[in-house]
Amino acid sequence: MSTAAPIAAPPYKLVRHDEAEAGLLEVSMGPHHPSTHGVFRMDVKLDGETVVRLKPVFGYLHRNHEKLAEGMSYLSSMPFTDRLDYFNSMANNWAYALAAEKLVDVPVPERAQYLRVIMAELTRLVNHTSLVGFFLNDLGALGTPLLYAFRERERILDLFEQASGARMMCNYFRFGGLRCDVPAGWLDRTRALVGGFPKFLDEFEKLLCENEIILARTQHVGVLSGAQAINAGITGPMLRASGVNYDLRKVDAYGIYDRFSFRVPLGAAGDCYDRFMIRMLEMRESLKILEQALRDIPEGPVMGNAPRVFKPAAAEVYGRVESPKGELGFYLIADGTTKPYRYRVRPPSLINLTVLEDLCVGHSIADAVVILGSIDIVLGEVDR
Amino acid sequence: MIDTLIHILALTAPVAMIFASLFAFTTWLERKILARIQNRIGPNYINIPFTKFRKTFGLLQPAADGFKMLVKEDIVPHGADRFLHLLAPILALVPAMMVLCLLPFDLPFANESMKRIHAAALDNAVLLFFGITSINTLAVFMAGWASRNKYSLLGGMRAVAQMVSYEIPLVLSAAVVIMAVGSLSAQKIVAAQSTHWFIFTPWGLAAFFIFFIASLAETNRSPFDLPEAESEIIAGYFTEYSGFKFALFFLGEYLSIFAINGLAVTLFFGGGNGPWVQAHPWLSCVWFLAKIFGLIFIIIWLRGTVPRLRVDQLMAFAWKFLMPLSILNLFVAAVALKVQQPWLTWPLCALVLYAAAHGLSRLQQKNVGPRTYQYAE
Amino acid sequence: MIEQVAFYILSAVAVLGALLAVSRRNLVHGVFALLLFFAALSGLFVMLLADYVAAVQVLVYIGAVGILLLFTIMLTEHVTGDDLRRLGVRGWFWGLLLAVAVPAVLILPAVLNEKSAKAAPIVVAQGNPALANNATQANTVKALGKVLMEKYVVPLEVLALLLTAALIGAVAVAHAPEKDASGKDTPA
Repeated sequence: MSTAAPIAAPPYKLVRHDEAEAGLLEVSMGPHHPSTHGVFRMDVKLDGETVVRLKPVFGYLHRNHEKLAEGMSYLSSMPFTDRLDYFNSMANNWAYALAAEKLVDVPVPERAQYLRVIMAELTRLVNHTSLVGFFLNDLGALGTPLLYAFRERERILDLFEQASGARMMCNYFRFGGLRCDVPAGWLDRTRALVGGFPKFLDEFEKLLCENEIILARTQHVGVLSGAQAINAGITGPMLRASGVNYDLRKVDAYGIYDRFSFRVPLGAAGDCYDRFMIRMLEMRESLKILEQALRDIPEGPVMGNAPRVFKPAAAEVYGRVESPKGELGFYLIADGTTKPYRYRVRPPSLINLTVLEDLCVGHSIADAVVILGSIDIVLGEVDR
Repeated sequence: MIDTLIHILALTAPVAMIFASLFAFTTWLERKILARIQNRIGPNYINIPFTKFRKTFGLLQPAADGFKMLVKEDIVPHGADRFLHLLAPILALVPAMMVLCLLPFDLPFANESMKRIHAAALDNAVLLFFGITSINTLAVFMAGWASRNKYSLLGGMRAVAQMVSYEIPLVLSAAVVIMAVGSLSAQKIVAAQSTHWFIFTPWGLAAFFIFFIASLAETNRSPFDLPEAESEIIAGYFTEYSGFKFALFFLGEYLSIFAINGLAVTLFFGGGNGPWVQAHPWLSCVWFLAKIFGLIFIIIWLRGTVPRLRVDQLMAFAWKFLMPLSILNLFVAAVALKVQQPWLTWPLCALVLYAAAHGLSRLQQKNVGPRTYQYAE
Repeated sequence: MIEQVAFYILSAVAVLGALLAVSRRNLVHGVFALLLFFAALSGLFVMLLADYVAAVQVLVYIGAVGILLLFTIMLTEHVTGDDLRRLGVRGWFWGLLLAVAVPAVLILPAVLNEKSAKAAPIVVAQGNPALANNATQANTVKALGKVLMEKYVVPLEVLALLLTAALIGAVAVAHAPEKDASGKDTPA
């Protein structure tokens, strides 16, 4: 090789970094970080304090959920759906049960329908109180609102434990109904909780919603317009805070949601404050649904006549619910065997996360944390 | 010469010992108060070893914490500047201890003529106080720089910007009291408040609010604890400190809180003045500490209640709100002290100050406020 | 006795700080050595019974100028202070000449003038340092204030104007330039 001709100089200029970004400070927030809601990393390029580019990096919690489901029977995946969005296990269960019940037409008894609605709305309360607590924790109110919110969440988790045996990973839904009925006295305890909840919401609103520091830090931060949200496929309270009236409980009216009267709060500005307030208002609407459901719930069986062996004919189906974080959907392709051919989860947290860079650019790094908190992600769902 | 040194030691050592033990008590107090605000109990686990005595209410927790800090491994990051890394906590601690000697804290032992003994009765104590507390800024910067860590650097820069900006309202609001008394000496200021405290005057009240808020920012306490923001940049400028150096930072921060609160008590609350002090001179020490702890209670309460300000909002608050207000306060106080007629000046001053505060706060953020929401059926 | 010991210690620290400040490779270390020098200087001011000047020295030089220097070093790229070479020794003759000539011009008249050498001995109170100030202090701050407001008020106001102009100039220089539509910077 020593006698080979010298290599010509490359015709292109080697540039190490993007010239404009050479002088920027690159900070990697995470994956070990007290406030990124799980193992989630954001590679942020800062110009002083302002975010210029942001790259979210996730996958640290990937557990192969979808591939595992292809090797198990349909019902065996039910406990794994609990672990997707581990705060809202009941909602995950319902989405999967809905998809599977479309594959095999099983009528769900009335009492099970009412109990499903009650569990889903209690889950919504759990999620929104936790979110409010975590959001304020990110803002710097060192844990006080978080612990007040968790006090309420504990009461609801006690109810879940009495009904299903577990606080968080409930595994309560089955194809065609529920696993078991609620114990005696459970409905009265739930009525008592629902009766006492508005007092907690009033206390929270009085303490927080007119606090000048919270107003100054969350208003006009992370503004998401309605058109941008629709383009990006955002769903859930984040979409409604940008002013788009799209709530699956009204649009699809799955379960028996068409029997309940409730309103859908809509935001105008689409900033962090709106996302925070929409969740507070949605909690009140959930309380209305709960009161109506608890009033009208009939007696009866909680399990329909599901086939013993779940072997649906070849079909494709998509079942979705309005989980507290957005549209949680399950896309199943059945091929006539007991195991699904393809099992796909539409995670609302992941889809909502795609606009993170657009929301954060131009704000300071402290705002990036607040914006991430307002999107409300759970890494179990993002990574599956 | 030896007796001079012994004399100096006899005056300053008690101050250091008293405030260092109060530091331990304050950490316990903070954890308990924060816990109760947050619907918890707080530490109550540490009990006296080798006994069965269980109800210590967590009072031995500070001792356990101190022991833990002592035996922890001292980690210095690989590329860090070892000398500056070591020097920064010392530089954070020494000015705080120095200014504690300047306070008019009547040591509770008297010499033969029953005169009050102060640690250092300087005649320009207040000015020296502000000068020495400005060294704390350097220590914070040194800590952020020496750790060779982007988070620490960010935290250090933010901390220095914050502390430098809030020095101006701090000094200007103290200048109101100095103007009223006519001297920089802490003893003379306390003596001038023997009849009524300065906080009961309109300009004194405004000056106290400005001073209190600026002192929260100087010592990096909530809601101005951006440099130590746990949820954003871990611990800011002391991310890379472990073990005893971290304990020294902690000690320095709390001692500077004592010092600034001591100055606030001196300037606005009459120092050691209180009921029954003429009869029992040693009570002035107790009153002084009680007033300091009243202010510390409010500081801890604020920490558990209020979220944090963002850095540009913090700076806007200092430069656009506190500084004009403190300059106006100075002017108003000068007018009121020249026209020696309280019945005329007091309502006028109160009105002017209130109007200024209200007007300035309206100027801050024009389009921020509570909102109402629409519903869709 | 203790005054002499204090004087020797303070002077030694001052000289050490100054020497370290000019000889360190690491710029940040040099700045901190300079701040040590300022602190020792403030101690020397106290020994000269100019305690107001000492307090202001700490407040202004250590608390403000020092931080200014540190920010400058930190915000300038490639001046991290680790990779500086020693400055070239080309101009050593003129440097040495200046280093000898400037102190000589400043100090020699004071030393040679008999009157001034006797009029300001370095004396601090014997015994309790805390009581020393009472003798002459009441004059320092008040006297300074009176003199500033009565005799030197015009230079004071001119200084204030100058500082305001400097402040506005600094803000104007540091202001981020407005970007026009094409993304290029317009002149500020």
